[in-house]
Amino acid sequence: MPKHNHTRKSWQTIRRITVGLTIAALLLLFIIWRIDSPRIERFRMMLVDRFVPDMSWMMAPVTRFTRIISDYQSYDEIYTQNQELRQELQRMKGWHEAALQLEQTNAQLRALNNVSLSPGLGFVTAEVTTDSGSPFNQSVLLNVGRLDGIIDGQATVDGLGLVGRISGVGEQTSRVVLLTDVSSQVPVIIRPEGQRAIVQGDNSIAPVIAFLDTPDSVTPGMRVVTSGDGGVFPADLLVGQVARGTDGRLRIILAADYEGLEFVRVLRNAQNDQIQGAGELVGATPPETSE
Amino acid sequence: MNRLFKIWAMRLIYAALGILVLTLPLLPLQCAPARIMSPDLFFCLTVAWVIRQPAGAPLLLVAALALLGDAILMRPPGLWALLLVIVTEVIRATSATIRQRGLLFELGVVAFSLFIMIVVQNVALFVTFADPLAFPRLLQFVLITLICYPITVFILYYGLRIRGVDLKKLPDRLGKIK
Repeated sequence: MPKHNHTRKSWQTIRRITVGLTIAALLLLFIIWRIDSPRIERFRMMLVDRFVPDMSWMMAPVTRFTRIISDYQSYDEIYTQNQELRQELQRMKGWHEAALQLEQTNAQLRALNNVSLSPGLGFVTAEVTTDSGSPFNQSVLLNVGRLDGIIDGQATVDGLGLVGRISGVGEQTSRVVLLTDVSSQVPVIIRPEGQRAIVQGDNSIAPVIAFLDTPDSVTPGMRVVTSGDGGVFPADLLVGQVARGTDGRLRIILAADYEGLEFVRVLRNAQNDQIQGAGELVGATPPETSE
Repeated sequence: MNRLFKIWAMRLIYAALGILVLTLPLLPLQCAPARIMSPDLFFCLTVAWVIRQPAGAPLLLVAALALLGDAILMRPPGLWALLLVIVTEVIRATSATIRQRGLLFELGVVAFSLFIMIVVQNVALFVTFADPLAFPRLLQFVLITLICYPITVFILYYGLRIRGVDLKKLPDRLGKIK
Protein backbone atom coordinates (compact mmCIF):
# COMPACT_ATOMS: atom_id res chain seq x y z
CA MET A 1 0.00 0.00 0.00
CA PRO A 2 1.84 3.07 -1.20
CA LYS A 3 -0.40 5.54 0.66
CA HIS A 4 0.06 3.76 3.95
CA ASN A 5 3.78 3.74 3.40
CA HIS A 6 3.74 7.45 2.68
CA THR A 7 1.95 8.46 5.89
CA ARG A 8 4.23 6.20 7.82
CA LYS A 9 7.26 7.91 6.38
CA SER A 10 6.02 11.40 7.16
CA TRP A 11 5.17 10.25 10.69
CA GLN A 12 8.74 9.09 11.06
CA THR A 13 10.04 12.44 9.86
CA ILE A 14 7.88 14.33 12.36
CA ARG A 15 9.14 12.06 15.10
CA ARG A 16 12.73 12.60 14.14
CA ILE A 17 12.26 16.36 14.13
CA THR A 18 10.63 16.23 17.58
CA VAL A 19 13.52 14.18 18.96
CA GLY A 20 16.03 16.62 17.45
CA LEU A 21 14.20 19.67 18.76
CA THR A 22 13.87 18.23 22.28
CA ILE A 23 17.55 17.36 22.42
CA ALA A 24 18.52 20.78 21.08
CA ALA A 25 16.25 22.55 23.58
CA LEU A 26 17.68 20.63 26.54
CA LEU A 27 21.24 21.25 25.40
CA LEU A 28 20.47 24.92 24.97
CA LEU A 29 19.02 25.09 28.48
CA PHE A 30 22.17 23.56 29.93
CA ILE A 31 24.39 25.98 28.01
CA ILE A 32 22.28 28.97 29.07
CA TRP A 33 22.56 27.75 32.65
CA ARG A 34 26.33 27.81 32.35
CA ILE A 35 26.33 31.28 30.79
CA ASP A 36 23.67 33.00 32.83
CA SER A 37 23.31 30.88 35.93
CA PRO A 38 21.48 33.39 38.19
CA ARG A 39 18.60 33.81 35.75
CA ILE A 40 18.04 30.05 35.40
CA GLU A 41 18.43 29.58 39.15
CA ARG A 42 15.74 32.20 39.69
CA PHE A 43 13.57 30.31 37.25
CA ARG A 44 14.28 27.09 39.15
CA MET A 45 13.34 28.76 42.42
CA MET A 46 10.12 29.96 40.80
CA LEU A 47 9.34 26.41 39.71
CA VAL A 48 10.04 25.07 43.19
CA ASP A 49 7.96 27.87 44.66
CA ARG A 50 5.09 26.84 42.42
CA PHE A 51 5.28 23.06 42.73
CA VAL A 52 6.78 21.97 46.00
CA PRO A 53 4.29 23.51 48.46
CA ASP A 54 1.56 21.73 46.52
CA MET A 55 3.26 18.46 47.24
CA SER A 56 2.99 18.88 50.98
CA TRP A 57 -0.36 17.08 51.10
CA MET A 58 1.34 14.06 49.60
CA MET A 59 4.31 14.28 51.90
CA ALA A 60 2.43 14.80 55.11
CA PRO A 61 1.14 11.22 55.58
CA VAL A 62 4.47 9.61 54.71
CA THR A 63 6.43 11.94 56.95
CA ARG A 64 3.97 11.41 59.77
CA PHE A 65 4.08 7.65 59.32
CA THR A 66 7.86 7.40 59.48
CA ARG A 67 7.94 9.70 62.49
CA ILE A 68 5.39 7.50 64.26
CA ILE A 69 7.60 4.48 63.61
CA SER A 70 10.70 6.17 64.94
CA ASP A 71 8.74 7.44 67.92
CA TYR A 72 7.49 3.93 68.58
CA GLN A 73 11.02 2.61 68.55
CA SER A 74 11.94 5.10 71.23
CA TYR A 75 9.08 3.82 73.45
CA ASP A 76 11.02 0.61 73.81
CA GLU A 77 13.75 2.28 75.79
CA ILE A 78 11.54 4.76 77.54
CA TYR A 79 12.41 3.62 81.04
CA THR A 80 16.17 3.80 80.64
CA GLN A 81 15.78 7.07 78.80
CA ASN A 82 13.76 8.46 81.63
CA GLN A 83 16.41 7.50 84.16
CA GLU A 84 19.12 9.07 82.03
CA LEU A 85 17.13 12.24 81.56
CA ARG A 86 16.56 12.58 85.32
CA GLN A 87 20.27 12.29 86.01
CA GLU A 88 21.03 14.72 83.25
CA LEU A 89 18.47 17.15 84.62
CA GLN A 90 20.17 17.04 88.01
CA ARG A 91 23.48 17.90 86.44
CA MET A 92 21.88 20.60 84.33
CA LYS A 93 20.32 22.23 87.39
CA GLY A 94 23.80 22.67 88.76
CA TRP A 95 24.95 24.22 85.51
CA HIS A 96 21.89 26.42 85.36
CA GLU A 97 22.72 27.85 88.75
CA ALA A 98 26.32 28.42 87.73
CA ALA A 99 25.22 30.08 84.50
CA LEU A 100 22.89 32.45 86.32
CA GLN A 101 25.64 33.52 88.68
CA LEU A 102 28.06 33.98 85.82
CA GLU A 103 25.53 36.02 83.89
CA GLN A 104 25.10 38.32 86.82
CA THR A 105 28.82 38.84 87.31
CA ASN A 106 29.18 39.31 83.58
CA ALA A 107 26.50 41.99 83.56
CA GLN A 108 28.11 43.74 86.50
CA LEU A 109 31.52 43.72 84.84
CA ARG A 110 30.06 44.93 81.55
CA ALA A 111 28.33 47.78 83.32
CA LEU A 112 31.64 48.70 84.93
CA ASN A 113 33.41 48.70 81.60
CA ASN A 114 30.67 50.47 79.63
CA VAL A 115 30.72 47.86 76.89
CA SER A 116 28.39 48.42 73.97
CA LEU A 117 27.20 45.14 72.53
CA SER A 118 26.46 44.44 68.91
CA PRO A 119 22.79 44.86 68.01
CA GLY A 120 20.65 41.83 68.65
CA LEU A 121 19.58 39.48 65.90
CA GLY A 122 15.97 39.14 64.93
CA PHE A 123 14.84 35.82 63.56
CA VAL A 124 12.08 34.08 61.62
CA THR A 125 11.23 30.53 62.58
CA ALA A 126 10.63 28.29 59.60
CA GLU A 127 9.63 24.71 59.00
CA VAL A 128 11.76 22.40 56.89
CA THR A 129 9.48 21.27 54.07
CA THR A 130 11.72 19.16 51.87
CA ASP A 131 15.11 17.59 51.67
CA SER A 132 17.39 18.19 48.68
CA GLY A 133 16.52 14.71 47.42
CA SER A 134 19.83 14.30 45.70
CA PRO A 135 22.89 12.51 47.05
CA PHE A 136 25.21 15.10 45.54
CA ASN A 137 24.05 18.24 47.26
CA GLN A 138 22.88 18.90 50.76
CA SER A 139 20.16 21.46 51.14
CA VAL A 140 16.68 21.83 52.57
CA LEU A 141 13.69 23.90 51.59
CA LEU A 142 11.97 26.18 54.09
CA ASN A 143 8.39 27.39 54.07
CA VAL A 144 9.33 31.06 54.36
CA GLY A 145 10.44 33.32 51.53
CA ARG A 146 10.74 36.84 50.27
CA LEU A 147 7.36 37.74 51.73
CA ASP A 148 8.76 37.00 55.20
CA GLY A 149 11.79 39.17 54.63
CA ILE A 150 14.23 36.40 53.81
CA ILE A 151 17.26 37.54 51.83
CA ASP A 152 20.00 35.50 50.18
CA GLY A 153 22.93 34.86 52.46
CA GLN A 154 21.16 34.94 55.82
CA ALA A 155 22.32 32.44 58.42
CA THR A 156 20.03 29.70 59.69
CA VAL A 157 20.40 27.98 63.04
CA ASP A 158 18.48 25.33 64.87
CA GLY A 159 18.12 25.59 68.65
CA LEU A 160 21.81 24.99 69.20
CA GLY A 161 24.07 25.52 66.25
CA LEU A 162 24.53 26.83 62.74
CA VAL A 163 22.66 24.89 60.06
CA GLY A 164 23.56 26.68 56.84
CA ARG A 165 22.91 29.75 54.77
CA ILE A 166 20.04 30.85 52.59
CA SER A 167 20.77 30.45 48.91
CA GLY A 168 17.81 30.91 46.64
CA VAL A 169 14.67 32.72 47.73
CA GLY A 170 11.22 32.35 46.23
CA GLU A 171 8.06 34.18 47.21
CA GLN A 172 7.11 31.66 49.87
CA THR A 173 9.99 29.21 49.91
CA SER A 174 13.71 29.48 50.35
CA ARG A 175 16.57 27.03 50.10
CA VAL A 176 19.18 26.52 52.78
CA VAL A 177 22.53 25.15 51.69
CA LEU A 178 23.65 23.01 54.63
CA LEU A 179 27.15 23.12 56.07
CA THR A 180 27.65 19.58 54.76
CA ASP A 181 27.22 20.64 51.11
CA VAL A 182 30.35 20.70 48.97
CA SER A 183 29.79 24.33 48.05
CA SER A 184 29.46 25.49 51.65
CA GLN A 185 32.43 27.37 53.10
CA VAL A 186 32.12 29.23 56.36
CA PRO A 187 34.77 31.36 58.10
CA VAL A 188 35.15 30.28 61.73
CA ILE A 189 37.23 30.84 64.86
CA ILE A 190 38.37 27.98 67.03
CA ARG A 191 37.88 28.68 70.70
CA PRO A 192 39.66 29.04 73.03
CA GLU A 193 42.65 28.86 70.76
CA GLY A 194 41.62 31.80 68.58
CA GLN A 195 42.77 30.52 65.21
CA ARG A 196 40.75 31.37 62.13
CA ALA A 197 39.82 28.71 59.61
CA ILE A 198 37.27 27.79 56.98
CA VAL A 199 34.74 24.98 57.43
CA GLN A 200 34.21 23.18 54.14
CA GLY A 201 31.46 20.68 53.53
CA ASP A 202 32.31 17.49 51.67
CA ASN A 203 29.00 15.59 51.56
CA SER A 204 29.85 13.76 54.77
CA ILE A 205 28.24 14.31 58.14
CA ALA A 206 31.37 16.03 59.51
CA PRO A 207 32.70 18.97 57.44
CA VAL A 208 36.46 19.55 57.10
CA ILE A 209 38.36 22.37 58.81
CA ALA A 210 40.65 23.91 56.22
CA PHE A 211 43.19 26.75 56.03
CA LEU A 212 44.43 26.38 59.61
CA ASP A 213 47.63 28.21 60.45
CA THR A 214 49.03 25.66 62.85
CA PRO A 215 46.88 22.55 62.82
CA ASP A 216 48.99 20.96 65.54
CA SER A 217 47.79 23.32 68.22
CA VAL A 218 44.14 22.49 67.56
CA THR A 219 42.95 19.54 69.56
CA PRO A 220 39.68 17.61 69.33
CA GLY A 221 37.00 18.94 71.63
CA MET A 222 37.64 22.62 71.01
CA ARG A 223 34.59 24.70 70.25
CA VAL A 224 34.13 26.23 66.81
CA VAL A 225 32.11 29.41 66.29
CA THR A 226 31.58 31.63 63.26
CA SER A 227 34.05 34.47 62.97
CA GLY A 228 31.84 36.87 61.04
CA ASP A 229 34.66 37.48 58.56
CA GLY A 230 33.59 38.72 55.19
CA GLY A 231 30.25 39.82 56.55
CA VAL A 232 28.67 36.56 55.51
CA PHE A 233 27.47 35.47 58.93
CA PRO A 234 27.01 37.18 62.24
CA ALA A 235 29.92 36.38 64.56
CA ASP A 236 29.84 33.92 67.47
CA LEU A 237 27.26 31.46 66.25
CA LEU A 238 28.11 27.99 67.51
CA VAL A 239 29.10 25.61 64.71
CA GLY A 240 30.32 22.56 66.59
CA GLN A 241 33.29 20.77 68.08
CA VAL A 242 36.62 19.86 66.58
CA ALA A 243 37.14 16.15 66.01
CA ARG A 244 39.65 14.07 64.15
CA GLY A 245 38.18 12.07 61.30
CA THR A 246 39.10 8.50 60.45
CA ASP A 247 41.20 9.88 57.59
CA GLY A 248 43.27 11.91 60.05
CA ARG A 249 41.93 15.29 58.96
CA LEU A 250 40.45 17.78 61.37
CA ARG A 251 36.69 17.80 61.09
CA ILE A 252 33.73 19.29 62.90
CA ILE A 253 31.02 17.49 64.77
CA LEU A 254 28.13 19.83 64.05
CA ALA A 255 26.17 21.18 66.98
CA ALA A 256 22.98 21.40 64.94
CA ASP A 257 20.91 18.23 64.93
CA TYR A 258 20.94 17.31 61.25
CA GLU A 259 19.23 13.97 61.79
CA GLY A 260 16.01 15.50 62.95
CA LEU A 261 15.93 18.91 61.37
CA GLU A 262 12.35 20.12 61.65
CA PHE A 263 12.31 23.77 62.61
CA VAL A 264 15.06 26.28 61.99
CA ARG A 265 15.54 29.95 62.67
CA VAL A 266 16.57 32.28 59.90
CA LEU A 267 18.58 35.09 61.45
CA ARG A 268 17.85 38.57 60.22
CA ASN A 269 21.00 40.49 60.91
CA ALA A 270 20.38 44.09 61.80
CA GLN A 271 22.18 46.09 59.16
CA ASN A 272 25.39 47.21 60.76
CA ASP A 273 26.81 50.50 59.61
CA GLN A 274 29.67 49.87 57.28
CA ILE A 275 32.76 52.01 57.50
CA GLN A 276 33.22 53.50 54.07
CA GLY A 277 36.52 55.06 53.03
CA ALA A 278 39.22 56.66 55.16
CA GLY A 279 38.58 59.08 58.01
CA GLU A 280 38.80 62.76 57.21
CA LEU A 281 41.63 63.38 59.66
CA VAL A 282 44.01 61.12 57.79
CA GLY A 283 44.99 62.53 54.40
CA ALA A 284 42.72 64.21 51.94
CA THR A 285 39.20 62.96 51.44
CA PRO A 286 38.68 61.33 48.08
CA PRO A 287 36.72 63.50 45.65
CA GLU A 288 32.97 63.02 45.82
CA THR A 289 31.52 61.06 43.00
CA SER A 290 28.23 62.21 41.63
CA GLU A 291 25.20 60.26 42.82
CA MET B 1 -10.37 2.93 20.45
CA ASN B 2 -9.70 0.46 23.23
CA ARG B 3 -6.07 0.38 22.23
CA LEU B 4 -5.84 4.18 22.32
CA PHE B 5 -7.47 4.31 25.73
CA LYS B 6 -4.99 1.77 27.03
CA ILE B 7 -2.01 3.77 25.79
CA TRP B 8 -3.25 7.00 27.36
CA ALA B 9 -4.03 5.24 30.64
CA MET B 10 -0.49 3.89 30.60
CA ARG B 11 0.95 7.35 29.98
CA LEU B 12 -1.09 8.73 32.84
CA ILE B 13 0.11 6.03 35.22
CA TYR B 14 3.69 6.59 34.06
CA ALA B 15 3.43 10.33 34.68
CA ALA B 16 1.90 9.83 38.13
CA LEU B 17 4.52 7.25 39.12
CA GLY B 18 7.27 9.49 37.73
CA ILE B 19 6.19 12.44 39.85
CA LEU B 20 5.87 10.19 42.89
CA VAL B 21 9.34 8.76 42.39
CA LEU B 22 10.84 12.20 41.85
CA THR B 23 9.29 13.68 44.97
CA LEU B 24 9.88 10.70 47.22
CA PRO B 25 13.49 11.65 48.04
CA LEU B 26 12.33 15.17 48.91
CA LEU B 27 10.71 13.97 52.11
CA PRO B 28 12.51 15.66 54.98
CA LEU B 29 13.10 12.50 56.96
CA GLN B 30 16.79 12.87 57.41
CA CYS B 31 18.75 15.96 56.52
CA ALA B 32 22.14 14.54 57.41
CA PRO B 33 24.05 13.12 54.44
CA ALA B 34 22.97 9.51 54.22
CA ARG B 35 25.52 6.72 54.41
CA ILE B 36 23.71 4.81 51.71
CA MET B 37 23.08 6.87 48.61
CA SER B 38 19.60 7.10 47.22
CA PRO B 39 19.17 5.53 43.78
CA ASP B 40 17.79 7.33 40.74
CA LEU B 41 14.44 5.59 40.72
CA PHE B 42 13.14 7.77 37.92
CA PHE B 43 15.86 6.43 35.64
CA CYS B 44 14.92 2.83 36.56
CA LEU B 45 11.23 3.49 36.03
CA THR B 46 11.67 5.22 32.68
CA VAL B 47 14.08 2.73 31.15
CA ALA B 48 12.11 -0.29 32.35
CA TRP B 49 8.94 1.27 30.96
CA VAL B 50 10.44 2.18 27.61
CA ILE B 51 11.81 -1.33 27.14
CA ARG B 52 8.42 -2.91 27.90
CA GLN B 53 5.94 -0.39 26.58
CA PRO B 54 7.66 2.19 24.38
CA ALA B 55 4.34 3.88 23.64
CA GLY B 56 3.56 4.26 27.36
CA ALA B 57 6.46 6.61 28.00
CA PRO B 58 6.54 9.00 25.05
CA LEU B 59 9.52 11.21 24.36
CA LEU B 60 8.01 14.54 25.40
CA LEU B 61 6.63 13.15 28.66
CA VAL B 62 10.03 11.68 29.57
CA ALA B 63 11.73 14.96 28.74
CA ALA B 64 9.24 17.04 30.74
CA LEU B 65 9.43 14.82 33.83
CA ALA B 66 13.21 14.60 33.69
CA LEU B 67 13.41 18.37 33.42
CA LEU B 68 11.11 18.77 36.41
CA GLY B 69 13.43 16.38 38.26
CA ASP B 70 16.44 18.47 37.29
CA ALA B 71 14.72 21.56 38.62
CA ILE B 72 13.56 20.27 41.98
CA LEU B 73 16.53 18.00 42.72
CA MET B 74 19.02 20.85 42.16
CA ARG B 75 20.81 19.14 39.29
CA PRO B 76 22.32 21.14 36.43
CA PRO B 77 19.13 21.92 34.49
CA GLY B 78 18.77 20.09 31.20
CA LEU B 79 21.88 17.93 31.38
CA TRP B 80 20.54 14.77 33.01
CA ALA B 81 17.26 15.18 31.11
CA LEU B 82 19.18 15.43 27.85
CA LEU B 83 21.17 12.28 28.56
CA LEU B 84 18.08 10.40 29.67
CA VAL B 85 16.20 11.40 26.52
CA ILE B 86 19.05 10.26 24.27
CA VAL B 87 19.42 6.96 26.11
CA THR B 88 15.68 6.25 26.09
CA GLU B 89 15.51 7.05 22.37
CA VAL B 90 18.29 4.55 21.63
CA ILE B 91 16.66 1.95 23.87
CA ARG B 92 13.24 2.66 22.34
CA ALA B 93 14.60 1.93 18.88
CA THR B 94 16.01 -1.41 20.04
CA SER B 95 13.40 -2.30 22.67
CA ALA B 96 12.09 -5.36 20.83
CA THR B 97 15.57 -6.88 20.62
CA ILE B 98 16.32 -6.14 24.26
CA ARG B 99 13.06 -7.81 25.30
CA GLN B 100 13.88 -10.91 23.32
CA ARG B 101 17.30 -11.37 24.85
CA GLY B 102 16.07 -11.69 28.42
CA LEU B 103 16.51 -9.88 31.72
CA LEU B 104 20.25 -10.37 32.13
CA PHE B 105 21.00 -8.80 28.78
CA GLU B 106 18.60 -5.98 29.63
CA LEU B 107 20.42 -5.35 32.91
CA GLY B 108 23.69 -5.22 30.98
CA VAL B 109 22.27 -2.64 28.57
CA VAL B 110 20.95 -0.56 31.47
CA ALA B 111 24.27 -0.73 33.32
CA PHE B 112 26.17 0.27 30.20
CA SER B 113 23.88 3.20 29.43
CA LEU B 114 23.92 4.45 33.03
CA PHE B 115 27.70 4.29 33.06
CA ILE B 116 27.90 6.20 29.77
CA MET B 117 25.45 8.80 31.10
CA ILE B 118 27.52 9.34 34.23
CA VAL B 119 30.74 9.68 32.26
CA VAL B 120 29.26 12.07 29.69
CA GLN B 121 27.67 14.10 32.47
CA ASN B 122 30.97 14.50 34.28
CA VAL B 123 32.80 15.33 31.06
CA ALA B 124 30.15 17.94 30.19
CA LEU B 125 30.43 19.48 33.64
CA PHE B 126 34.21 19.47 33.41
CA VAL B 127 34.28 21.02 29.95
CA THR B 128 31.92 23.81 30.97
CA PHE B 129 33.93 24.56 34.12
CA ALA B 130 31.21 23.42 36.49
CA ASP B 131 32.12 21.18 39.43
CA PRO B 132 32.11 17.53 38.40
CA LEU B 133 30.72 15.04 40.89
CA ALA B 134 33.04 12.95 43.05
CA PHE B 135 33.78 9.59 41.50
CA PRO B 136 33.59 7.21 44.48
CA ARG B 137 30.11 8.49 45.25
CA LEU B 138 29.09 8.13 41.63
CA LEU B 139 30.21 4.52 41.62
CA GLN B 140 28.11 3.85 44.68
CA PHE B 141 25.21 5.65 43.03
CA VAL B 142 25.48 3.49 39.89
CA LEU B 143 25.61 0.30 41.94
CA ILE B 144 22.57 1.16 44.04
CA THR B 145 20.58 2.24 40.99
CA LEU B 146 21.43 -1.03 39.27
CA ILE B 147 20.34 -3.00 42.31
CA CYS B 148 17.02 -1.15 42.23
CA TYR B 149 16.49 -1.80 38.53
CA PRO B 150 15.36 -5.46 38.76
CA ILE B 151 13.10 -4.53 41.66
CA THR B 152 11.48 -1.85 39.53
CA VAL B 153 11.05 -4.33 36.70
CA PHE B 154 9.51 -6.83 39.11
CA ILE B 155 7.02 -4.26 40.43
CA LEU B 156 6.13 -3.13 36.92
CA TYR B 157 5.72 -6.69 35.70
CA TYR B 158 3.67 -8.18 38.51
CA GLY B 159 2.20 -5.12 40.19
CA LEU B 160 1.17 -3.02 37.20
CA ARG B 161 1.25 -5.68 34.50
CA ILE B 162 3.49 -3.58 32.32
CA ARG B 163 4.81 -6.37 30.14
CA GLY B 164 6.42 -6.54 26.79
CA VAL B 165 3.96 -7.31 24.03
CA ASP B 166 4.42 -10.34 21.84
CA LEU B 167 6.22 -9.14 18.72
CA LYS B 168 3.69 -10.65 16.37
CA LYS B 169 0.85 -8.71 17.97
CA LEU B 170 2.80 -5.46 18.16
CA PRO B 171 0.94 -2.61 16.48
CA ASP B 172 2.81 -0.57 13.92
CA ARG B 173 3.54 3.09 14.37
CA LEU B 174 0.06 4.09 13.34
CA GLY B 175 -1.42 1.93 16.06
CA LYS B 176 -2.72 -0.70 13.66
CA ILE B 177 -2.51 -4.33 14.63
CA LYS B 178 -1.11 -6.45 11.87
